[in-house]
Amino acid sequence: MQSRRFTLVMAAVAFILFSFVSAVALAQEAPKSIKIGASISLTGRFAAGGIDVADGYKLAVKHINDKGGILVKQFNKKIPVELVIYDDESDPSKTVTRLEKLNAEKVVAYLGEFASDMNIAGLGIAEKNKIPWVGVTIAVENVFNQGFKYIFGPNMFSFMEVAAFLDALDKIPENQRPKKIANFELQVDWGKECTKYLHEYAKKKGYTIALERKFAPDTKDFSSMIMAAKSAGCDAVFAVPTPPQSMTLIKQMKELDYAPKATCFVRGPDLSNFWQVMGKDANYIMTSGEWTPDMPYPGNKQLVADYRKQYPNKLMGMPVGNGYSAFQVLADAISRAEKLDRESIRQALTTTSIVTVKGKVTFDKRGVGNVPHALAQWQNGKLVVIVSPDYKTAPVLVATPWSKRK
Amino acid sequence: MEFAQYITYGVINGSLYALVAIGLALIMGIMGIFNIAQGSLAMIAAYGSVLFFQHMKIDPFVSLALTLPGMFLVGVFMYLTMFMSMNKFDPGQKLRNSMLVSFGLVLIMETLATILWTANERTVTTAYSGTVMALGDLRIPYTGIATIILAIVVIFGLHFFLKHTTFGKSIWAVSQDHDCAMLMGINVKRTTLVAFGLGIALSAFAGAVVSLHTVSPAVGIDWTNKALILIVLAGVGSINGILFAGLLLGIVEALGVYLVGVHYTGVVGLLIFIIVLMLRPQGLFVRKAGV
Amino acid sequence: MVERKKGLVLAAAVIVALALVPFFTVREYVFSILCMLFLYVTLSQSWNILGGYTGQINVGQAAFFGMGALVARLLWVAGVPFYLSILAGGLGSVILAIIIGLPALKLRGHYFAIGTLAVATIAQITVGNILPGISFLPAQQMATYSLIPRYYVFLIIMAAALAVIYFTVNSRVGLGMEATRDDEEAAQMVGVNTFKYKMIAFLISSFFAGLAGGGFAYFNASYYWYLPFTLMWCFEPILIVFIGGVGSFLGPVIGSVCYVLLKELFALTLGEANLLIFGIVFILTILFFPKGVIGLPAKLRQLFYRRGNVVGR
Repeated sequence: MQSRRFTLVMAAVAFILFSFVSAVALAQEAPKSIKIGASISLTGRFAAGGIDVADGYKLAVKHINDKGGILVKQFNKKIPVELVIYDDESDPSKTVTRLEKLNAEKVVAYLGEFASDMNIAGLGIAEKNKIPWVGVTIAVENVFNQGFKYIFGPNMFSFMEVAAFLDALDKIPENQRPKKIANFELQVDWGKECTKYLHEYAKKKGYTIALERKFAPDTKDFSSMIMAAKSAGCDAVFAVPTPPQSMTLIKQMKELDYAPKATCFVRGPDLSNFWQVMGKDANYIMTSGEWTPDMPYPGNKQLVADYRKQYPNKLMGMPVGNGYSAFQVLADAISRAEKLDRESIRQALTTTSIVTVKGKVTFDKRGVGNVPHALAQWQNGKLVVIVSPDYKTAPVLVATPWSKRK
Repeated sequence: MEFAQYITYGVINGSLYALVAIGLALIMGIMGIFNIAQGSLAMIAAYGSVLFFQHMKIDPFVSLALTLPGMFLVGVFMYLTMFMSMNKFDPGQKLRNSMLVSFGLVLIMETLATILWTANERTVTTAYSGTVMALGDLRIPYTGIATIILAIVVIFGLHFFLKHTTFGKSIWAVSQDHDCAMLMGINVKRTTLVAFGLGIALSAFAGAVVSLHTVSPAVGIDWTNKALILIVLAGVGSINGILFAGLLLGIVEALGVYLVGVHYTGVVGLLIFIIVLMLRPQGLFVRKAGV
Repeated sequence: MVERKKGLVLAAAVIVALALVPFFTVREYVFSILCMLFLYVTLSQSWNILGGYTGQINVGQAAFFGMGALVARLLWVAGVPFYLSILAGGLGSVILAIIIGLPALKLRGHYFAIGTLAVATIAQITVGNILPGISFLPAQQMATYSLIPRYYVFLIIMAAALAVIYFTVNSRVGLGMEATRDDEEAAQMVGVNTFKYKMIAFLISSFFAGLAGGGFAYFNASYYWYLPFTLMWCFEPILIVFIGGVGSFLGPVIGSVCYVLLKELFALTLGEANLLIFGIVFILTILFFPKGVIGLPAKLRQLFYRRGNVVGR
């Protein structure tokens, strides 16, 4: 009896020792892959941008894995990246469970997605789970004033969009330069932030905001705002409408014969199919120029060529380049972290300084990205960069009245 | 003058609301089928218009000749595979089950459209879009005039068809009393099939106009919501009333801009709707109490 | 009677078993899925007492869910203890229900349905305009965030909702509700105060919808203020109840399990086409089980019986 119990105890001890030893041994062996996760709206309301972002990520992963993966010093070898993307159906509640699922799968970092509803839900989870989160289109600065440690936004923010717009106005010759700006404020936090910075920067640069009108994300008729801007004599318009709203705004501006010298709609005209659907009415419209296929930054040519090869029938949207760039930032941080734990990667992200396909990216203490603030304009069927701090751009074209356009 | 301009846009928007709602009103009022996929069908039709325009330069109003029969066939298919089996249910359950099935259709159509055509917003920009008829300072876009005329022709045409043609009367008869109509020698199966197909085909008209605004896979449910409001405002079973309800909502929304600003337009329209509902729950344009 | 007792014991056992889950797993993913499941059970059961048992189709549940979330979150973030905030959220929904219910419950059929949808839309736009920003948890709450207390909050809300609704519908009040649903005019004729029963159902419904909203406010680390008011929260509880079986107590529970878990499974495995496949499965389910999944055993029995007949002949 005694000896039997002894045998059992010994067996147990042996088992525990064995598992301990094997656990240690396993810990030192390099993992098969570096797991990175993203919850993205591949279906539903925000699928357009979501699919583009996912395509950008996938292409970046392919490029890195073609070269064997990311070099991780801890294991002294290159390890391929495994990107796990789950669809959240454009539903923020789903984002939460998808990110928890990715956490359970032990991803070392999250990548952000396109629409802000989902991003906001996602970055809370990242902070709570202490997993570094690299965004891609998170333009609201306020998000980064909450003291969160794990979130990074390598993209243009509200203040950069506004600054780029005013820089574009500055580039217009004095005798033609607009002076009175109409601000159409979208009733979301991003719109409010843009208004704040528009006031601040316009005052500094000597522009007046002659008209301000609010509209909601579901507004479909802009006639009253357009007529007010017209009768106030505004010769420049700034807004951050949703993409369909941009299209309606331009159509109604034409109907009401209102053609300010400069019109900037940050969302909508940045879609690759904008000229295709709007035709010549899109001419002179300015929009965010965060990334375009023509940018001269290293790697961009290869990205564009490979994308066109892989999706010959798709137009290449801005989120593709942004997604690619966000992944470059993360991959760079992982290789500098030298280890594969989340905390080291977060540390490495804070000291990011890398030139991606859309220019140099660094972060401030809050995680707000510093990227080249660029503005683009539709000029005869092409989206041309008109403001960039890094290279010489095309001149800004002043819009002509509707009646004089052919 | 500004005021008149607001009202003009209100009338145009209201006509579009009515065009979206009319198919739903026909199918719900006559067949007791609650098809919340109507807006999504208009979305599909709008994509049809967009694609015909983009690839073959066919004007959306011309391509109606193709999208109308196309949507009719979609309707026939939907009826034969899904909705015909619901005729054995009592009205309450028919309403419920058709709502659920059509919700499934919304999911299918949205996802299919995303896969086929991407979720990017599309619109049709014709040579005449943005051009206007100017009456003094008042500017009426030609697309808007076309919308108003289309709404009037379609809705009054449908009303005439139902009340004054033999086939239309037989549709009406089947909706009033299924068994009696059968005894009278009406081919009930064929009649309901055609009526349903017609209701779905009507979404092609809405689609043509929607394509001149903007279309993306997810817009369907927004249009359905607007259509529901119109149906209750007009009263279930009313056909002509849909047009007036649409105009009323459009104009009230335009006035809302005047009263509280653009960002509360939606609220003003719905508040008026709720007040109407309280005062006249059977709807504005039917005489007897609602179903 | 014995059957019912058995059922109650079983239900209690399931709840206790669920309460023990955190002792067996620490995977947060499991908790987050179960939290969503409990949330949907609560919300759909709260819809069921008004829609299923009393026959008033409320398409505006988002207004009450959102109200609960709004009040609870505002108070909680301002420093009020959480259990008080969530109760205040439930009460806020009840007050909203009184304001809306007094006029709206006089409407019948479609008119009540679309009227409540209009209320929910108004609430969504208004909240979006007044509070266009994001609600963040304060940093110290963020640092101590754990899913375990959230899990228990959702479990308790669900258990309370199930218990209260179960005993209500199985009481005299429940009989009044069903009489109202089956034939309102006939019920009035024999002296049933149908408005009273509709109001009771509406208040219970909105209270638990508000509590579910409070749970949402407690669960989510950061979200846009208008999010709990979006119309999705109107449609989903209705779908769930009809999938499971309308007007039956277990319907919403079964419906939630099918809806939440099936969708999760599809989303994780099928990629971009997941909603397409879900839509097809959904339509087939409705076509072949028109009374919901709860009608499945009866349907099978019927099939079996029919086959038996044929063999007999």
